[in-house]
Amino acid sequence: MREQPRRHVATSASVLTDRASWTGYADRLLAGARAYASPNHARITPSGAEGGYGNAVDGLEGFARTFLLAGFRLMGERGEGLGDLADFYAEGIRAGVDPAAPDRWVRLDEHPQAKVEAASLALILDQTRPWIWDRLDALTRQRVIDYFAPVVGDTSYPRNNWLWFRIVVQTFLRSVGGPWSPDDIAADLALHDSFVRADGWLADGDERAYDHYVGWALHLYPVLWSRMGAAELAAGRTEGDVAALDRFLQDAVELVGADGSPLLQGRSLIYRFAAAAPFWVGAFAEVPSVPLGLLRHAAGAIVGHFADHGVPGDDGLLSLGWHGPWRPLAQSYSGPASPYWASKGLLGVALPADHPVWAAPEVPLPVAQREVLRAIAAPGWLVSGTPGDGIVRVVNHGTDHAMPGAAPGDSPLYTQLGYSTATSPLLDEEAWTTPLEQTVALVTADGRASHRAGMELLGVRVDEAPDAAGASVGVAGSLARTHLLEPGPIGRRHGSGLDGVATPLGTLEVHSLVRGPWEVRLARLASLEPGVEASELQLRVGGWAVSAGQTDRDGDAAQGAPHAPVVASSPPPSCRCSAAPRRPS
Amino acid sequence: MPLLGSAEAAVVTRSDASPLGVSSAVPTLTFPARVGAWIGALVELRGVAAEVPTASVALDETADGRLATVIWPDGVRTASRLFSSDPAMAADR
Repeated sequence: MREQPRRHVATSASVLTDRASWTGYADRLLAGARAYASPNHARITPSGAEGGYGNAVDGLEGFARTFLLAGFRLMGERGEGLGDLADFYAEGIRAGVDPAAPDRWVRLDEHPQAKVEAASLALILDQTRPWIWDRLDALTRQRVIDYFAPVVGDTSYPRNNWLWFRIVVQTFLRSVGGPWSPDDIAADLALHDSFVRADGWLADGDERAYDHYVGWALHLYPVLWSRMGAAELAAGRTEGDVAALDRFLQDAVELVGADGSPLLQGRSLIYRFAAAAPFWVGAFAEVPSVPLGLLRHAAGAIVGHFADHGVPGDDGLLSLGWHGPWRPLAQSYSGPASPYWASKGLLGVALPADHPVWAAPEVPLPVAQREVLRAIAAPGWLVSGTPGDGIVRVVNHGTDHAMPGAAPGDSPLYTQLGYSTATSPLLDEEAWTTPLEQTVALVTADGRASHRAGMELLGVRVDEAPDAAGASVGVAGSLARTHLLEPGPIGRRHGSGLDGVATPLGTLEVHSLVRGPWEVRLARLASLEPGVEASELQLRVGGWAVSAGQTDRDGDAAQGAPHAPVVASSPPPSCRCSAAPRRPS
Repeated sequence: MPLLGSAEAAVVTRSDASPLGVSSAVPTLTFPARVGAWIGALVELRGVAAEVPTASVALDETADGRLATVIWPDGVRTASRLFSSDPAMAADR
């Protein structure tokens, strides 16, 4: 494939640096959402199609997720000058827990999504105690306790980052004289520890689920929880949590493109600049290895990236999409307020003006300064960043949101061989059944492509240059029992590939050698399953999916609104995938 | 004779499959499937203008392990040992 050379030097023009620009951006988001509050303020339901869990859940999400942001603002100003904001949300809380209120909140025993939102409510009620909780009337306080109480002893939480929702709520309940269970918290902390992997990484569950949840959930909550008066419960573990965060951030900061784009990989990408959250958490924890000026810059570059691309929209709202609205990026259950988990990326506004992070000298992102070549063991990634264009790429041999040896379908969000800050995996329906980009796949005569989920990571490392004249090379490999998949009924998607009936085809080993913008990809069909004939198959190598005619989707496609160019001055990158030339004979 | 297999090149396009644009293009190479045969490809993603890259790779399986010698598009030559395909033998994972 040859394309006309195009220029895509990725730089962010709108890095948020001074604190006023951050609070201004946060206030713009809050104002945009506030216009969609119910009369009692308990539900905030931005315009748009109803989510899969219904309008009442949508409204609760809107309240809880913007309450996160409102709470950060109150924390950062120590409540001063934001009485109206505190009163607005306090009124919403009163109605939310009032069983007779028309806009009361969906209870935890009515819908599991309320367990997610409860964590945001409890966290901010704890952290803004002088300005909201302490000013609530006794009846409302008791109703809040009653609202949270079903969490105690509830064993139905999924085995993933949700564990922190139970910990945070019970820690708050404990602080206000409500019911709580030390056994629940101990069990959840043990579960968290079972997700710990090498070099500060964690899996979001038992599967090889490595994505933005590592930063915006599994590293965020331990640090914020430690600020909830939970020292006794933490039993000295916070030091270890911070050490893990410190190590993780050394990798994470190299995964941000020079234009501030996070990696387009993993589920929940509609949370956009929530990807900035772990950098702020690092500032909260004052990690030793990544300078405050780099943490602030990384967070600012990410939020600035989206601001540059028209986020929020002219209506002041966060849409279901990436730059602009694009509904397929969301889960089927996502509602119009779901994107407001992005609030976590604005956690920095909770740091007051006299915090040293605001005065720290600016430190550019690694990819803006030098070539990046890094091996990350836990997810099985080689990271390659090039300062000339600011693009960060990941070559993936160990992440699939599946268990080793399992045989689900490939998830385009996790299982592809490559992800970057300048490209997106294909995410249409076909992408879930027929792997194409960033794959090595066996293809049948009728066009079906094999899946590799469940593959075995053979290893990942960087061979450092032996001397100044040499070159470092990233090396990684994996072994897959490739299989065709007959998908079963499609249920709710949480990132994993499709379930279905797998038909093994053969064993395929794939190796990557990586330098700069290049990957030399080597593959060998090691064996075929009995009865499978090589003559009936082909071996297909897919390169990067490059989007042409990039647009901002300035309206919801489902509503037929028009699209308008947004990156005309920043055309998409080019991708080539070519067979290695012949060796001289 | 191709170094690491002969292939047919193509570009597959999709509409409305990406949040980054209305049209997506994926370059592909399709090789015959042969048990035990190696295939190789150079995959590139860049955002600045450059010449069409050329590279070569030689794989020596007689050495201790499998040594891949690459001449990269910028002319740099490297030699890297691939991981063993026996997971139990793979080091440095």
